[in-house]
Amino acid sequence: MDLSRRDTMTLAAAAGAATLFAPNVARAALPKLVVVGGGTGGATVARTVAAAGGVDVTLVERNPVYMTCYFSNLYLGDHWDYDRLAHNYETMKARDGVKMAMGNAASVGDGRVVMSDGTEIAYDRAVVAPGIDFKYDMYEGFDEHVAETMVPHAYKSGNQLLMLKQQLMAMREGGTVVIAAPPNPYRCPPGPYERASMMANWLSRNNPTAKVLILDPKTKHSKQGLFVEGWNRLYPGMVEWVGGEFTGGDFLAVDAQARSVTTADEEVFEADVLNFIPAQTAGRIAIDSGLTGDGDWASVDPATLESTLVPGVHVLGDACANGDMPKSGFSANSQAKACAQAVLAAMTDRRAFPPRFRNTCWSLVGDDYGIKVGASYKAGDGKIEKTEGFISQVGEDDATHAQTAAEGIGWYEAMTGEIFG
Amino acid sequence: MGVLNTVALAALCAALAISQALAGDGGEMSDMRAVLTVDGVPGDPEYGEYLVQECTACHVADGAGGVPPIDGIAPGYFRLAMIEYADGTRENAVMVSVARSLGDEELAALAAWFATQQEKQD
Repeated sequence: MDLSRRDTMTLAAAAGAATLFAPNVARAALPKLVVVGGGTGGATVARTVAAAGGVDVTLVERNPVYMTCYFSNLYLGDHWDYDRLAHNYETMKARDGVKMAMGNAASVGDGRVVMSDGTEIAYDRAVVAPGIDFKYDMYEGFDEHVAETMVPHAYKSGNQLLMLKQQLMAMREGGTVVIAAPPNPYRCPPGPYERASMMANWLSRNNPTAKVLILDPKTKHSKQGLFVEGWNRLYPGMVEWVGGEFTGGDFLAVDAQARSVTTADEEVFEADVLNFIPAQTAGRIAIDSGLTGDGDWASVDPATLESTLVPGVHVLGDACANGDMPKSGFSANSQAKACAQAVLAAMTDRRAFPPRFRNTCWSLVGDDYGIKVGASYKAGDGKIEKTEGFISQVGEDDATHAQTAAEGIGWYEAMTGEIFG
Repeated sequence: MGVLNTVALAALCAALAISQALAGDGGEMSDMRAVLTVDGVPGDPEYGEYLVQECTACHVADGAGGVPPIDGIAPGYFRLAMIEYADGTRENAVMVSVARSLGDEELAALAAWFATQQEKQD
């Protein structure tokens, strides 16, 4: 797909038009789309709409560099450098004509995005893609400060991911890593189990008598049989999963000094390294803008991703109540492309096409050992509905695992390249 | 079973037509029109431009990692590959799922879009 060449031609054509007509008049005539959040979903919709032309697109983002959460476990396993997760907005500005507004957005509604410093950005239509936030209040002894300094959740890439890796590397010989997994729904359903795999992968080379214990509020988890098969084969005796039947289905407290976690059954598990991943909600701005109503996630029209509560505002990616789709980078990208064509149809004379949704989650269990799960979806009655799915099979051979691992990396490079250049 | 047989027969006919188009044996132009047409109606390249965004989530021009490039793919080869994924001749689970989610209108639209890309290259 030579999209870059086509985009260059579009840009060249736009530049030519600008010299023929008074540029400020031409610009004033364009409808304004403001996208809040430059993660995978927000960045995809911003660049897709901007590249199509006919809409003035501004992307509001507080960080100059975006670190993907997906594939961050590969950093924990020493398979990827940290920098490989980093992307910026320079290509999006130059290639697609997306305008960047660097700063923290506080709320969206009534045709304006209000920034934390009080300034406002007017829009004709807005997209809100803030990702996730955490329900710290549910747990005694755990808050954002504890997560930033002692017990990382590391469920957004950044300093906590670096801290978790450092703690893993510094752990005593034969120590125990405890991963406390979150309740449904949460970002990246296979994420905690891929994390256990990648930590075990690192430990098997550097601290082979260590253990990885996963405490789960859930009674089953994503790709369970496939992960267990991989753990038994690659890291025998090292990884143990304790399900909801034995944790009481929830956690009550975290003791950061003791690095222990208390389950709903009031059993205390002590760790040498504690990775506590709390229950999740839509990102703060979605809640503060009234997009989530009484719930944790933003209710949206499944065909257009437009909020059912705030007209003219679309919510996509992890922050929306996305029906049968899992919260993943692939899902956010897919929803953003459907949303982009709905936005273009609403704001320009372009035609609207039936939305299509797809997801695939690749997980790395070990060296050249990948597994995957995925599905097709459609805009159904009130939610995005699964139409057909697939999953790797137990007992696959080495060549298939290696191919799946390579395919996942191919997807990462392709999708992040398409979005960020 | 009747429905399945009909589908299989239709797929076989389409595969044969595409094979002829690929071979370029005299009737190339009319066969290529068949590739880009559903019930006499040409595929819509603008719809194809939207649909191809699903492909470019994984496929890039240089074919990084384990995903092959589809840059400049021949429309007839694309149609044949989709038929082979849908019927299980080709086995990649992601592509089987993609192929089975595409109806005739979508396949024709994508083929029409790939044809516009080929014209740009020529």
